[in-house]
Amino acid sequence: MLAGVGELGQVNRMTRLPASYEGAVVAAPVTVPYVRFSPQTAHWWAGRALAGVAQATGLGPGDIDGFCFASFSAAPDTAVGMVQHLGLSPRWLDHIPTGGASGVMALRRAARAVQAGEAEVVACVAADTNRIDSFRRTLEGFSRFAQDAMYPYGAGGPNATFALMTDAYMRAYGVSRADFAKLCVAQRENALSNPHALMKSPLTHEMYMAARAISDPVHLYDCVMPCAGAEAFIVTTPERAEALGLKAAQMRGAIERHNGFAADPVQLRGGWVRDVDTLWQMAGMAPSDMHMLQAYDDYPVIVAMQIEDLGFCEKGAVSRFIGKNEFGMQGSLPLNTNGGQLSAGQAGAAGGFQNVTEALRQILRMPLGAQVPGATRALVSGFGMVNYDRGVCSGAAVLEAL
Amino acid sequence: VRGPVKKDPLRPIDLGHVPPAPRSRAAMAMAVRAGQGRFMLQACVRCEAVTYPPRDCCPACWGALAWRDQPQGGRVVAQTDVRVSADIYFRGQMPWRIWCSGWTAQGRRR
Repeated sequence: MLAGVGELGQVNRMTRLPASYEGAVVAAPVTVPYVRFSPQTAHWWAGRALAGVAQATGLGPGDIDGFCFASFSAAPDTAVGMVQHLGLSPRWLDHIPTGGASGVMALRRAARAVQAGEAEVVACVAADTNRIDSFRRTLEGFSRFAQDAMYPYGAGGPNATFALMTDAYMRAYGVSRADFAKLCVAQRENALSNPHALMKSPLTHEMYMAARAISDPVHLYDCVMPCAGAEAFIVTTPERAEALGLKAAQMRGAIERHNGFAADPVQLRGGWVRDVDTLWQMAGMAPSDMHMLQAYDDYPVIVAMQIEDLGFCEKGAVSRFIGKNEFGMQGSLPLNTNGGQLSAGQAGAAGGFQNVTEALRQILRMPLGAQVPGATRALVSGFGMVNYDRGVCSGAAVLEAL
Repeated sequence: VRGPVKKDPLRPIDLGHVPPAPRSRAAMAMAVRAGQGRFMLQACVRCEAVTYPPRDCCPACWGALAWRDQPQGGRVVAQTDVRVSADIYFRGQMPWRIWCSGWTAQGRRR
């Protein structure tokens, strides 16, 4: 499984620091409660998300002049079809097909549009339905490489791909299932106060360790549950947010990278590694300044990888880091405070937005459940699109309450 | 008179499900060569980079690709037993052992 671009693509040339995101703020986090299966369409879920935005802001279709959309199940429609379906008339439009990285990418694009004056109110929406067999259909037609070189080999889906990555990662860095258990158990504990989380019962270390193998070394509680749901937020000017009476947050820094380490034979690091210095320099902050980490968590191996690659600990030291830290609401590093996708459910592309909306709710003091005490800053991280053997897209954003 | 044999409703039965069929033209070309007993991968005619999965363009220099025989050896870098499949065709065949490997390809490794 060796493929990709040449070494040149992996050398970071000296680039100037991106401009700040001053003049664009994020507000009105909306989560439409998830369900395991839904007879509705992605369009219906997107509509519920916009209704939630309307309820939070008082804005209607005519007030939204920018629209950014992410979904896996809206076919044959893209953002264009969605615009007419939902009665929008934006002067700025973006379709983001990047799943787990879509929330951070929506933030970055919408903020630049608002800063440049190309839109004043951008509604960012991710919506997906989940019907019987729709998840398999998504896998079957996910990408050309998956269709050619992954799906025909047992059709294990992401469980199989991440099993390969987890297998290599555990051996490379001495990470154990017990380490992953601590992350998963903490996230479940966090989920128990979130009324929308699909997982309602506590998860113990013993339950995690005794779970059946799905694709070794991935076991049952390492896997997210596909579901239907939608997430949304708006990006606007600080003046407009204030006029609307909205609590808002500022993006202090943000990065994204695609196909970051193409020559690595198996993914042991994500694209964050190439850009993490830019992120913290831009924010003028360090990992220790963060009050929480809303990491992308389709599998715990990716959470562990983000802890390293975003600078919370050295590469290879994550097992010790997990041992020394607590990840609950009162812990030293509150992690995925709504339970994350592992305990709240993975609503398709909305899974790449729920880390953004949860971070906003926590730092704006409007939590669904428990509140991280004194939180004003959050790191949100996205990861997405197993085009073939690894997540191609990565991104991260530092959010601070105004 | 005996009635029909009762069937365990949970046991997967072979209903003649067909394997997943959609494949790119380049992947079909590789499969045809594999069917002839040859392990061939695409190499760039310009920079000699070897690539997999099958592509339509060299990812290192955007040159044209041609099929080249490759050494049979490789090194397993990760493996798993897939125990749960999304596709009904594979349900009765679990577990499937899959792995990813590095190999010493002719020319430059990509």
